[in-house]
Amino acid sequence: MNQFFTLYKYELVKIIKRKIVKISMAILLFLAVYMGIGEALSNAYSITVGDQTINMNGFEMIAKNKESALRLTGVRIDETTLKEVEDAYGKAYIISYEESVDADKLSLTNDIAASAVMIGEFEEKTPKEQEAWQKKKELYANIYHYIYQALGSYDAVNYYYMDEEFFYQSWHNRMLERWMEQNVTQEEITYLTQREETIEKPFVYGYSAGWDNILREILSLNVMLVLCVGICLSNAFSEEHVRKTDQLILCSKLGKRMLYFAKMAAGVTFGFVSGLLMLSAAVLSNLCIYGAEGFDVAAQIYLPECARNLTMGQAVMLLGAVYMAAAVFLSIVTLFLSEALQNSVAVVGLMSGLMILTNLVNIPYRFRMFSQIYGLLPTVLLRVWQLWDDRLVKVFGIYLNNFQIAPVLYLAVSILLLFLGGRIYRNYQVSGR
Amino acid sequence: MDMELVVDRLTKQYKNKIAVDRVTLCLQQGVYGLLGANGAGKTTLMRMICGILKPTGGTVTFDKMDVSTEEYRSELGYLPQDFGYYPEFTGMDFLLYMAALKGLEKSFAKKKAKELLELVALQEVAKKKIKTYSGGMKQRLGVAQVLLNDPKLIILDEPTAGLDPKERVRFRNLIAELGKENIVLLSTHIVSDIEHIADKVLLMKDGQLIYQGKWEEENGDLEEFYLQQFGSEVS
Repeated sequence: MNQFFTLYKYELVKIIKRKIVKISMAILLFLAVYMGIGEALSNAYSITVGDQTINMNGFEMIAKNKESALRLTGVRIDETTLKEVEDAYGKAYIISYEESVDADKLSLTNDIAASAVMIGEFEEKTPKEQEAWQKKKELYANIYHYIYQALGSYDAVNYYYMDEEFFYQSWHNRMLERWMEQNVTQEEITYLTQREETIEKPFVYGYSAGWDNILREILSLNVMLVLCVGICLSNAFSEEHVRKTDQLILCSKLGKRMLYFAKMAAGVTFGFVSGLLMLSAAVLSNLCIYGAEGFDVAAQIYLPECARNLTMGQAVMLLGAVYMAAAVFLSIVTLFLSEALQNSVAVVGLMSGLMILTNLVNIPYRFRMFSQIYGLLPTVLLRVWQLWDDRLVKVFGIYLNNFQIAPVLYLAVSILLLFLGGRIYRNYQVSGR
Repeated sequence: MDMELVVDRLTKQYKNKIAVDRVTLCLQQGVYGLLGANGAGKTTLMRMICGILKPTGGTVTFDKMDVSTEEYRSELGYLPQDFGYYPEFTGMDFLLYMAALKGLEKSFAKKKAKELLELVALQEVAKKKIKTYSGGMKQRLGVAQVLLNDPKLIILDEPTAGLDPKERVRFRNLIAELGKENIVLLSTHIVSDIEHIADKVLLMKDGQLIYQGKWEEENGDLEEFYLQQFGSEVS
């Protein structure tokens, strides 16, 4: 075992000491940090409040948004809140259009149009009332926009037919529509509906921009991870053949078996630590800029399409864990290709090609099996919207979702590649030089 | 008990060429000089003896241990003709890495590496990166790694390439010393490298052994014989 760790240490040193590894890691870590702080460093924003135009930089804008969101933290999206929002925004809409409400143009039902006209006629406000109403509008701005995100339309709140039952029923209907679109079976829908019912309602609003940003950056982090392991591990094995050191290695006592595992372990360690560093850099920079508030906020507040019973923090942990599993898996794939192809450029090309391909090609839901398997590829799975891919796999009577089945699949493929790679490595023939 | 390397009808055939053709050898303690022109099959034969190239036919055993076993490899020291290093490693790092590959304990490996660096006169540059070494220094480092595990079977493929005349002499003496207790098989196409130290001469031509045995003075000049056999191939 001592020899294994000595070899492991040397293999790790071989990877880390290469110039390209140092340069790549420095650039990728800078990018990971920049993703978190980029918006804060961005150009000035101009916002109009009443008659005034205020200029602020990116960081001030983030602080302002945070302040307004924090004012609503803890507010339940219930009957009372929805009525308040409706009161603020429905009337705003009516007043701005009071002269031109037209049932046909706005595609409203006659009843709604009639009531809108009626209420519009009633809205004669004093400047003081106008000011108070404007403040209310500002207060509920985040929830107003949230309703749009959750239901995909402002209609309900603008046209006065919003109540709690309508809101949650509409939200559920959107989930149902998506499940149908995803070709989910009736049995799965029953299971998913039961799962959805475990989500606490009414939702409680909260500020969670930091965690939300991390979730949305996972795709970029994944691209960086593929590049990182592709560049840094692609020659872990091929280098030995190119440098002709394989002759020394393969005829030494531990060169055929133990060294293979030491190389694999070193490569996987590098991939894992690199992934962890990039993820940590992105998490820390985001939390420093946006704040760590909102770990316990329901995922549905920032990701209304998500029908899983998760908080924002749990969603980050889930994607983070799968990201780390993908880091190990991608490292093993790269190491395997390094031995199988014996050409580091070909390995980098293949890994980057796979990344580009999976970003451009989408298999439609109607080819359910292919599309579902394709969705488990690490370059496809690590996207925030996979949190609302609700297609399931039944294993021994238990439904598993994509984030549960993927690590199992990665493990199985990794073991297979480890075995195949070992065979290729041990059977390598030094000839023709 | 005498050690014995047995090579039995060893053959390596590529698509349309037989690189090594049914070579049979039985080597015991001593220095064996393998002579042959470029392309005669010396390197292919040595690679098969080292277990890094699978033969098409035949077997290789050392003291009844098959060439594919870990035990066999633990008795082996191999210096390939053309091989690389890890440029970011120092000479000492390289030897310690090779020692780990050969299964040596860390403390023993350190001691042994120091001794060998001294033996090949590299102790002063032991902590310098290999990329700063000259060709001859790299070759000497290669020789040092061969001896790390005190191998009983030493295979040296063109070991004097890149060495200056003074180093060549030193190296010949070292080989002669090693041959007293071990089997040393060294290949070369420079006759003078072996004529004074080899106990036996093996001559290879077109994949076949055309001569094996002691080279006595009454046989005449080895170089002349060699030139006769290989004619224009050598020039």
